[in-house]
Amino acid sequence: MFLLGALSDEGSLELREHLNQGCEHCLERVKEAARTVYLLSLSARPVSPGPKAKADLLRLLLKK
Amino acid sequence: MPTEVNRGSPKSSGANKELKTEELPGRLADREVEALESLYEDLAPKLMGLLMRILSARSDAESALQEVFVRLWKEAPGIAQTKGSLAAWLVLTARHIALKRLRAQRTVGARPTQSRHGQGRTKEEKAAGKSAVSARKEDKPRERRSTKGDSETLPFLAATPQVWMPRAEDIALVDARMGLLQRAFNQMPKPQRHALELALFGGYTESEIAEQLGEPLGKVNAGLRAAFTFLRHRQHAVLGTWTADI
Repeated sequence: MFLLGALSDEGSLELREHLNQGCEHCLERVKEAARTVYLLSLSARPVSPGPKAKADLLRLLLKK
Repeated sequence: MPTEVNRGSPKSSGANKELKTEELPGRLADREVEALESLYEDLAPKLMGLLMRILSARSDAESALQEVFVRLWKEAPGIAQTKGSLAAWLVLTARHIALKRLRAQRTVGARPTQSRHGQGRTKEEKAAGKSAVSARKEDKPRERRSTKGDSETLPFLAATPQVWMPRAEDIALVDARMGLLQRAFNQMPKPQRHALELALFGGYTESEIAEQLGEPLGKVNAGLRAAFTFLRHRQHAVLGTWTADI
């Protein structure tokens, strides 16, 4: 739920502080939750970007 | 951070296919445009599907997709150091960017109309079990009422990929068994799945979901936790990664 951004502000703050302290067990659980969010996010049907999208991106990056 | 763009690699276009996603962070950090192009060809349709699911409008989704890859280009050296999954970074970052935009749209949309339309869903809608997502499509003013959100978590996650990025080998295993895992997702009880999709694609917090569904917060919280536990157990079963603490 933390990874989803679905916790309340208060609950999220507690967990962020806890993670910043380096709790290995919870860090591992967060990585596992990220794997789940990855899996769920890819349940959306793929859609091809428009034909100009890639060229626009490359032009933007090469300009920088 | 290197700033020089490397387009001089003598690789042919066929060589792109030989580049594996998880080998790319170092090449991106070295500013190999060919590596970025390869990654784009491989993952842009998946990211675009996710972005359109969240933002609906193609133009918004394409703009967000561009932001994802621009951020990747800027942050590639740091990402390469984490040794985590680049595919996972891209998918979760795309989601963060899209939700940030969606919440901003809601906030802008809510300002002039909140007092007129801030009364929540009707009893009839609740009785019909209409989701916030369907309500959003049918009744724009009602969708605008939700302006709250956990404003700190997504920036925290964006700034600390080392905290959450899964290992590349774990994501490779998920990718290899994606079909089975998606089937498991489809087996989730409908109310749990519905609440999960509101969080996943609608960017709602658990209290907002409770408000949308007209359910007590405790019930929504328990349902979301049950949904994650369901998925966690199914993943361990499919991936063969049961551990002692389950």
